[in-house]
Amino acid sequence: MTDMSTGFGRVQLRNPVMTASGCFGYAKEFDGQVDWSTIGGVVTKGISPAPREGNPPPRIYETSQGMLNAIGLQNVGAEAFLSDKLPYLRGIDCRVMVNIYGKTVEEYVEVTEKLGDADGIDAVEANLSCPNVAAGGIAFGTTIDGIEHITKAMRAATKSTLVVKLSPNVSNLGELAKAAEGSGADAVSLINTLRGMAVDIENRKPILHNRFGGLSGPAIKPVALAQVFQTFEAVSIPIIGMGGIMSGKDVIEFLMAGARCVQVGTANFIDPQASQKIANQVHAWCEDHNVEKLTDIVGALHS
Amino acid sequence: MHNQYTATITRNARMAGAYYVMTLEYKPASNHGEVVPGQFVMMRPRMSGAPLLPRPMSILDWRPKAGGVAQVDIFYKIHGTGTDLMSTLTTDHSVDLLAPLGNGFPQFIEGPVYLVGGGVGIPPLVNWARERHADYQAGQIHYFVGGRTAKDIFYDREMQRLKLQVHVATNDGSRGHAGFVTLPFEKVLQSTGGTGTVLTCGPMAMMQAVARIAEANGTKCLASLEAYMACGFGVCLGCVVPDKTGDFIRLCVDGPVMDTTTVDIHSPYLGGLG
Repeated sequence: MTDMSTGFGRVQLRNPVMTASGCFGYAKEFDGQVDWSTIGGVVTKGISPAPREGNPPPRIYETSQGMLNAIGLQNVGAEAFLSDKLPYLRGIDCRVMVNIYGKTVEEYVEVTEKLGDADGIDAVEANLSCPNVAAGGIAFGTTIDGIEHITKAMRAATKSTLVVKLSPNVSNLGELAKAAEGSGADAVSLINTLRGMAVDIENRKPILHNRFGGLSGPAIKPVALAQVFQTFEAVSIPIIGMGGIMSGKDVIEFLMAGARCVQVGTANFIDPQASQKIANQVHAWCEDHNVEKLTDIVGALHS
Repeated sequence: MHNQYTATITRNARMAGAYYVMTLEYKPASNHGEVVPGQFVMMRPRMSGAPLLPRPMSILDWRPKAGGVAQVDIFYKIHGTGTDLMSTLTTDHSVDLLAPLGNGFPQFIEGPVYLVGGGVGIPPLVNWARERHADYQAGQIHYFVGGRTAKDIFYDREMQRLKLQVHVATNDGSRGHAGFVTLPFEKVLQSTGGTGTVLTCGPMAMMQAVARIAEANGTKCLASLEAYMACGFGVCLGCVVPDKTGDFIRLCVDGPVMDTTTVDIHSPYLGGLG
């Protein structure tokens, strides 16, 4: 029997599979579909201080083995999250990480103070990498100063485990991950989506109303693996890997590249039970290959 | 309650031109529930090289069969990569099916009922007529169906047999009225004084015109809309449409059937799919 447990910060996961922010709603949408005791944890939609309407449609478009999205962080806001969404999350048998978004440092701090130490929240993930909003997010996530500023401010605002979610739309990811580590992050998660575009040639305009969107799905997996591999060499805090994971074997690849656990995103759209099935496949692979402890294979490519 | 099923293809027949009907068979779970006309499914062929995302397909027909299985009919037209691949599938193939999804038409619809459909946007209307025609007196349901040519018109004869009043319109005049289907619809609606309910599904420009005519005559109008969607069950937030207060609402769970006094069907964001 493989010991499947892993984790980051003070978060213990029964297995490495979590769901990715923006691809899993507030978890209740999957009630009756996913047996919570089969996955490690869930990550909520990005929460801002006030509700956000998001971008006008069209918001999504399918590309070759991937999809573009420009949702624009539509969410219920921190207050409604606490009153309407958190009660369900408290009752599910797996870890819960809340993804946090703000337009300013003050907004990140405001949501972190409200949610970080709330009962039922095991960790907070700073969204410093959304490519689809005009202010905040990626504007902070692409510079060392920005990452240090937000990470330190959030670190001071909560005792909870703090994860910084990084963008691949940079040339110095290792340095940015180091900045997060040096500023008090317990882990980094990567990659967020890659900025992309689709064109309507008949009407000579971008297909997405927002012009640009974030590319996700199997198309980005090789990019994500390389970024996880490089980040593993740059930091010693745990890495939460993601980008196009569709199967248990994909998870093993991320673990070997250096991820301590993973998040499954786009796959949830295609099959609401994807996270559970993938977790089972990881377990089966480990059993087949006589892996004693899952964490033994973390970073295997680096030895 | 929607669930994911592995469905087998029992029929995939070309009706005419680029129009097909596919029949899928699957074993509904105990929490599946009744399927309401106007609901839809998400489907994706189980084969390598298939497009990443499943495709939303409206239900032409759904029926329980012996042995605890159910069959669902999908009426589709080859339009892009997904439907092109669908047309090549045979009874050897299976598909991932997420069903049933969406709200569907309300249980009670005040007559007379005006069904206004165009092109490939007729399945929910035909499904509704098959299920509910017996609740109305003969002639109380109108089937307005439009297309570019006679080859784009379907189910008019069956609707006639069900005692619906059928009005066909083609752009090239090769069958029925020459011109848009909205012309005969408007004439009939004015003659009845606008009482009753309009159910419409088809190209966005047609539905916008239908909604405008219904509004001018004070007639309730329910439109079955479409949008790009990734999941079909309320999570991706990709399929939103604006309502009249300016909020974005999800087509997959709050629709696809929407009252045109609620949804802002004339919004510039709803240009229709290319």
